[in-house]
Amino acid sequence: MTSVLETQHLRKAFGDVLAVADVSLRVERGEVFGFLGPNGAGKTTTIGMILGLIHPTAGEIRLFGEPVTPQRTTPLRRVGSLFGAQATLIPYLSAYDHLKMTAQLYGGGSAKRITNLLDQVGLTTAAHRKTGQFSTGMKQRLGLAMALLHAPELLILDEPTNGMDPEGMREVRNLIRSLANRGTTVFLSSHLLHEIEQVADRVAILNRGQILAQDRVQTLLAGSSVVRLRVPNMDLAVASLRLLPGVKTVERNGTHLEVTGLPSATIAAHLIQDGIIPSEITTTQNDLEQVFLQVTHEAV
Amino acid sequence: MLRSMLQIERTKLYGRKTLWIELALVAVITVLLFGLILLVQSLEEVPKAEREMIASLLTLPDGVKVSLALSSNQMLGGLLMIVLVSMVVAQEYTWQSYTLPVRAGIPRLTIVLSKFLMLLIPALLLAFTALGIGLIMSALVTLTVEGQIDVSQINIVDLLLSTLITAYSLLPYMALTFMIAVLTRSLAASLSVVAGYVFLVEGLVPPLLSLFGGTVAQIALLMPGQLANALLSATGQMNNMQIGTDAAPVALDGVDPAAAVIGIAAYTVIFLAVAALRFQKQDLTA
Repeated sequence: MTSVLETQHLRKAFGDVLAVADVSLRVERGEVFGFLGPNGAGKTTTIGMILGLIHPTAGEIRLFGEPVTPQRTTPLRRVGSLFGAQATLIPYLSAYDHLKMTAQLYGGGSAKRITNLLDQVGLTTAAHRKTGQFSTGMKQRLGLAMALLHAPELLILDEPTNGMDPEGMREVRNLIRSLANRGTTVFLSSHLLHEIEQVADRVAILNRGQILAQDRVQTLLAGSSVVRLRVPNMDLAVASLRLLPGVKTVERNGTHLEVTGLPSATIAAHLIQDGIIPSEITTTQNDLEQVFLQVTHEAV
Repeated sequence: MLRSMLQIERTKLYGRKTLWIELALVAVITVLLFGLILLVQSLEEVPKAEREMIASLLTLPDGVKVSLALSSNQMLGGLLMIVLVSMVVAQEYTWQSYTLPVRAGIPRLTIVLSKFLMLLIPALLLAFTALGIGLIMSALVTLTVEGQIDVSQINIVDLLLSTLITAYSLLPYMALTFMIAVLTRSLAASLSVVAGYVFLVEGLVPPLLSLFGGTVAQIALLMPGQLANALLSATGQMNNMQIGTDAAPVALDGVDPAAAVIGIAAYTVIFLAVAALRFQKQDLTA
C-alpha cells in the first residue's frame, strides 16, 4: 500500500549550514505521526520542503505516491497545513475573509462549513475582526480552521498549540485524535513531548538534521524502560542477556541487574529459557521525554 | 486556478487602505492643481495673453489631459504605483503569506501572474479617477470662464484612449517595482531602489545624454520612462504639462508611438519574467 507521505534521504543546506542532513520518513494512512526534535533540529525546514516552500538540496518527497517538488505541487491540494511559529495570516483581513480565501484556493468550502469551523475553533464572535488584532492562540485556531476547511486526507501541523492555553491545547489534542479516528492522517511536529506522547501512534526523533529513531510510541517507550531483575547467578545472567538481540544495556546495580532495550516479559522469557529463574522483576516506565533525552544523548 | 487566485488577489487588494488613500490623493491633488492654476490665472500681474493660455489649458477638453498627465508615469501616478506595488509584493514576504497558495498546490507562476494582473486594476482606477476629476474640474472651469459647455468639443474616444495610455504608461515602473520587490523581499529596499531609479536615473540620464546628441541621445529615448513619455506626448498630455516650463530638451517625439507601445510591453514582460524566475527558486519560509 502506498504511504501517504514518504521522504527519502532529504537534505537541505543553506550555504555552509546543513539544516537537514538526512531525513527518511514514512507516514501511513490514518496514523498520527509525531515529529519530535529540539529547536533548530530541522523540523520546520523538513516540513517546508514537504510543503513545496523550500527547494531540497537532495532527496525525494512523495505525497500519496506522487513526487513533490517546488515546481510540482499538485499533490498538496490533498493536504491541509498549519505552518510556522504562528499561522500565516494577512493582518488587515478578517478570520472570515481568510476562510473564504482558503475555500477559493482549494475550490470548495461553503459558507455553512466556514461558519461551522469558526464555531468549532471558538472564533465565531471574532469572525469579522482583523486578524492583526488576534492573539497568538487565536491565530493558531484560525490557522487550524484554514487547514481543515477542505477536509484534507493529510494534515501537517507544525507546533499547532503554540500560544494556546491548556484548555485550547487539550481541545487540539482531542481534535487530532478524532480526525485520526475518522481516517485523516496527521503529521504533527512539536517540541512538546508530552503532547505528542498523548496523541501519536508513531514518532520520529530528529536532532541536528538527522532522524535518530523512528518507531511506534509504545515500542520506543518499552525499549527505553529499565527492567530491574534479581537473579541467583548474576554473571551467568549478564552473559546470557548480552547475547539477546535488542538488549541495549546490562548493568549491575548492587543486588540487581538493570536491563534496557526490551520489555520485561521478553527478558524474563529469555532468562528462563537459559535456566535462570529471576526472583524479582520490576520495570521503571520512561516517558517520551526520557526516551528523547536518551536517544539524543546517545547521538551526541 | 488563475481565476481563484485573481479573486483572492482582488480581496487582498480591495482590503488595503493604501489603494483608497492613493485614489483620494489623486482626486485631492487634481482639485488643488486646478485651484492653484486658476489662482495664478486670476492674478492681475499675469499678462492677458498668458491668462488666456492658462484658461484654455484648464477648460474642456484640454483640462482633462492636465489631470491625466498628473497621473502618468513620471508624475504622481508613477510614484503612487511604486508605493502600492512595493507594498503589495514585499509585505507578503514579511507576512509569509505567499506560503498559503504554495501550500495549496498553486503553481508559483500562477501566483506571480495573478498578482501582477490584479495590479492592473489600481493603474486603471488611478487613470479613470484622474479622468473623472479632470472632467468635473474642467467642466466647472469652462462654465466659469465661458458660461457654457460645448459638448461637441469633447471627444470621448480620444479621452478614453488617453486614459488607457496613461494607465499603460505606468506598466514599466510597476513591473520594475514588482521585480525589485521580489529580488529584495523588502518594502524599504524596493521603494528606495525604484524611486531612486525613476527620479535620479530617468530624471538625469536623458538630459545628460542629450548633450552628446546623435546615437547617444537616442539611447536615452529607449529607457522605460522615456518610452512612456513618448507615448504620452503622442496624446498631447506631456506637451500640456510642459507648457511654460524648462523641460528637458529630449525629443519626446523621437520614438514612434507604436514602437513605444512595443517597448513598454517588452520592458514589462522582461521585468516580470525575471521576477517569476526568481520567485520560482525562492525559499518562502525565510
